[in-house]
Amino acid sequence: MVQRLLSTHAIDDFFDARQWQILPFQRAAWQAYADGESMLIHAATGQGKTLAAWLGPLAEASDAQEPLRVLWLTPMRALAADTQAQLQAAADALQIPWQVGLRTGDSSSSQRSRQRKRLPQALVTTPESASLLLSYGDLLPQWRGLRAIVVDEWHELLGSKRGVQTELVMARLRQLAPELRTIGLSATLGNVEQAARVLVGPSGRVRRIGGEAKAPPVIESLLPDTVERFPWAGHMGLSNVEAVAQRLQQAGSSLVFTNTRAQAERWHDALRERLPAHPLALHHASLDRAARSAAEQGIRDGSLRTVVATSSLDLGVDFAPVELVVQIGGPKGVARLLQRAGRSGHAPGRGSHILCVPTHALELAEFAAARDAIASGTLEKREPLRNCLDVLAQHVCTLALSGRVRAEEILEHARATHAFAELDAARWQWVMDYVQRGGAALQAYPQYRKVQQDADGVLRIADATIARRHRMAIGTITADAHMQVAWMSGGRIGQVEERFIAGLQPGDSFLFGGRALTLVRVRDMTAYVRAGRSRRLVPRWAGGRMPLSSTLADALLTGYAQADAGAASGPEMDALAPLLTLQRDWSALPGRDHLLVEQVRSREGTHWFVFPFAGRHAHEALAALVGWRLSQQTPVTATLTANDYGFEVLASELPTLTEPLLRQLMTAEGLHGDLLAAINGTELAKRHFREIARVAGLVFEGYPGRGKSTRQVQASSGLIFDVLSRYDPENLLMHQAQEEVVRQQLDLDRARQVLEPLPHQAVVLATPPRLTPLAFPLWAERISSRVSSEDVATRVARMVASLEQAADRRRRRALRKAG
Amino acid sequence: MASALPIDLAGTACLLDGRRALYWHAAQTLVLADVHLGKGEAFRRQGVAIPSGHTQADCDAIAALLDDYRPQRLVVCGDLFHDRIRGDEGWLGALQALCHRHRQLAFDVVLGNHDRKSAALPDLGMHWHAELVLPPFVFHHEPQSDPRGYVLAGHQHPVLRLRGMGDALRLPVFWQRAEQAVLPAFGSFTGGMAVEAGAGERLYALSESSITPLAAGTGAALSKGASRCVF
Repeated sequence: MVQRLLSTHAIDDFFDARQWQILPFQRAAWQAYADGESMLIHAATGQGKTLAAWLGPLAEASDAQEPLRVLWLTPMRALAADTQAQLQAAADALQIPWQVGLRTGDSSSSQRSRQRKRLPQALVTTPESASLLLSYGDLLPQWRGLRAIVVDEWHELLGSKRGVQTELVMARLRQLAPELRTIGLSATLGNVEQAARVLVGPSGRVRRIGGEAKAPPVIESLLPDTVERFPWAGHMGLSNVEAVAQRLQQAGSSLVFTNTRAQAERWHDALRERLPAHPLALHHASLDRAARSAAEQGIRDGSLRTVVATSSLDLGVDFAPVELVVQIGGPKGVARLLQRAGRSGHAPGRGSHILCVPTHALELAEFAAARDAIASGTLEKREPLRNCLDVLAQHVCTLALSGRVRAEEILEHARATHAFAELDAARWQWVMDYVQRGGAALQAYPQYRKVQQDADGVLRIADATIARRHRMAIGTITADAHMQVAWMSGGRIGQVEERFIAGLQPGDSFLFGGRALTLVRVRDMTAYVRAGRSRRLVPRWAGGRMPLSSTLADALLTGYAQADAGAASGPEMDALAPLLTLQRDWSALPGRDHLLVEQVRSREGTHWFVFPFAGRHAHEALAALVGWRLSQQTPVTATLTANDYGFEVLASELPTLTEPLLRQLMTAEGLHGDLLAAINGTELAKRHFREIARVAGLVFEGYPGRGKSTRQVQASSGLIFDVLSRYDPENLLMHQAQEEVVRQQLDLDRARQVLEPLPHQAVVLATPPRLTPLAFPLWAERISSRVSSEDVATRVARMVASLEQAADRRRRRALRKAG
Repeated sequence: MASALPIDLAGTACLLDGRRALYWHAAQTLVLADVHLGKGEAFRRQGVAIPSGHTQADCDAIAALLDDYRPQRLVVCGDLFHDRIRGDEGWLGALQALCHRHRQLAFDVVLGNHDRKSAALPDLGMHWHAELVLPPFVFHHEPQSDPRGYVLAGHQHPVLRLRGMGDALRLPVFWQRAEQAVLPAFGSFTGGMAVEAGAGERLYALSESSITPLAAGTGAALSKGASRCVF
């Protein structure tokens, strides 16, 4: 008979002692857990979701000798230590003799081997570390006593491969412990019901438990004195530093959110220069954990007034609300703005308040649109991924390491997930062939062996080197290769992308972690630095840039349509009026019932600008499509650029754009096939393959400190892509790379939503005298890909000619200077 | 027909071939570097699923060059093999057939760092050298100066990144320097190291369809600043 240690009184006293109130959704969660149900708890930050999840399992505690009862998954390593401390503190206060352990990639090896002998009653870990735990056969008996798996920040995992990995981990654990209950914690999102279903899989039962409704936040835009007529996307909005600094000085505590790490570095630097005495810190995902913890602690204990942060602070780092939240740049999504605003003012009677600062004038319209969308309760969805064979292949290898599982068992629990519910026999067979023989059975790769199957059907990985390498590589977080940044004198500062460091020479200076650093040398995946002088260069981290959500884009086009009809109101649209007038005089305003297209000639050649307002990813797809279809008609090398509002096709010579030509290039017919052909002509699929290659175990990163151990099997994913496309074009991982590019990177569905209605829509084709306010940010962006139907010789000749011209110009300038 | 360009090395007439090879007329000698046969096998043995085929393709490419030039001698500047030879490699037959068909050919290989992994190298009729002196040239694996002559070497896998006019390419290069030249890697499953030409040096960017000579300064005129040149 299990003796319950926790009475209702104890819980009441626990809340009373902290002057907290038990909220109805918390009671509902505890009751649901006691009834044996799984649930998704969705509520805004700061409402007490952690206790809603934790006290249910705690109420069933019996003693300190119990086996593992609760596995708590958190998406960020940085959050894990916090969560562990919080859970342990609650258990201690309630006099539950449970140990809460912590296991992440940062845990020491002695800690890990202690845990492997005997797991604590609750373990806080990441999806990757949890997956790794499943690879140890000797742990198998310990999982059987597991009662609850808690997935924190489920909305962050949903829609990513880490989410798929989490689904597989949960499904495997349910297989081992059939009574397991699942508790998901999530912020508010547009598809809560789907998020709940994915959490437990198609055959699981799940309850949805919502938090308290809150008053909408106050969204205030910082209106510049003059609206620049030519908004420049590349710039960081620093002209507003003065105004922001004044507001920060008035507020007791504040958070400044930016969209990119580079922006955070720049703003931190500019604010520190402007406010030297203001306690200020920087927080982003590439900084070393110690620096991040210090910033979080400073906000908590009030020693810092302001923290400049990226989305690294969007995730549930727990601290009391601040007085003011500032958003630098367009929020790109309604839910994100709402969540960030929620970081401010939880005090009774005070709603939250966010100050929005544009980095270019057109973002004012985004702020207005976000306010409208929040008022009407429209939030974005997160689409869960399906059929990621790279993740499944990794999972199979991971379980094979345990030496205790048969193929049929893996298939059974994989099919119990949303991600692989419709996995057909052929694809499953391919995955088994891939892990055992390298490729489809008919073209088995000689000498290849990774997973082997016993006579009794049990999967194993016999080779110790291969086993060790697989354990090191587990994980689906797959940003670009990163390099540690460390002082010559010792001590880590953080990480930057390898590509950025590769572009530097020893002696070059750059701004990182709020400091000017000079590169001294690079060794074993570590860039050694000393203090430097120049702050001009800032690393650019790829990724993390969300496209404009369709929810926000819809609201934005509605706003423009109202402006066109003279019916727009509100401070943002009023401030934008002069710019919109110019746009209308030279060209036209975008709107919901027509597609705006501009053709401009400049020194660089002919530009086509098209503005579907479908988000960056869909525009990349449409640009690739238009560029590729054009290149099929005529030899051309075109530069393609996309942003959230539209895309540009630029070439030294382009045919005159007419409406029939545009309609022909933008027909929905053959979209999927043409797009696949188009991305084969660009580097997109190749670039995306990097992630798949890493998850599927085809490439290995160097590891800091053991730089040479994997060198003999290192090849770039680009090279592997080339070899696969030549010698095994039917490889399903290649197909997956293409499909992922088409679905995620390029957002095929949104591209289709642009093309399909087009035959019934008006096209407004303008030939403005020069770049319009809408076109200018695209021109300035230059994050481009290419499509080419010319041969290498022609392209080399043209590039060399341009380089030589440039060299001539430099020589002439130098001569003039000398003269 | 593949691209080819006459160049002069150490006062000797040579022909640079876009298929990553060099032909020395007077000695009727074809020169290659860094073939890395069997690299796929090496990966597969380590549990990395790379398909087979590239080694066969590289053997076929060597055969095609031998048919086109009909040389007296073939010199490989190191790293003919990627990994220790175990004897069960599927492509060894193809290489054997190639050597047998051209048994009149003097086949000289300078030992590269990868070749050294094999304790015993297969006896296919080729001659292995620590270095090879054939005046006016000295063949090494790793680039270095040598008082005995003009050095032809490999090892570095030099490539050039070209950018400009909204375009970008990465091409293998033949790197002609004052006292030595570095050949591009011949193998199709090889990576590369980006290089820039110094003063008085030349880079030849190679593709099947073109060879583009680049003087010092042009290649260096930036992989970095090319975007500035466009405007």
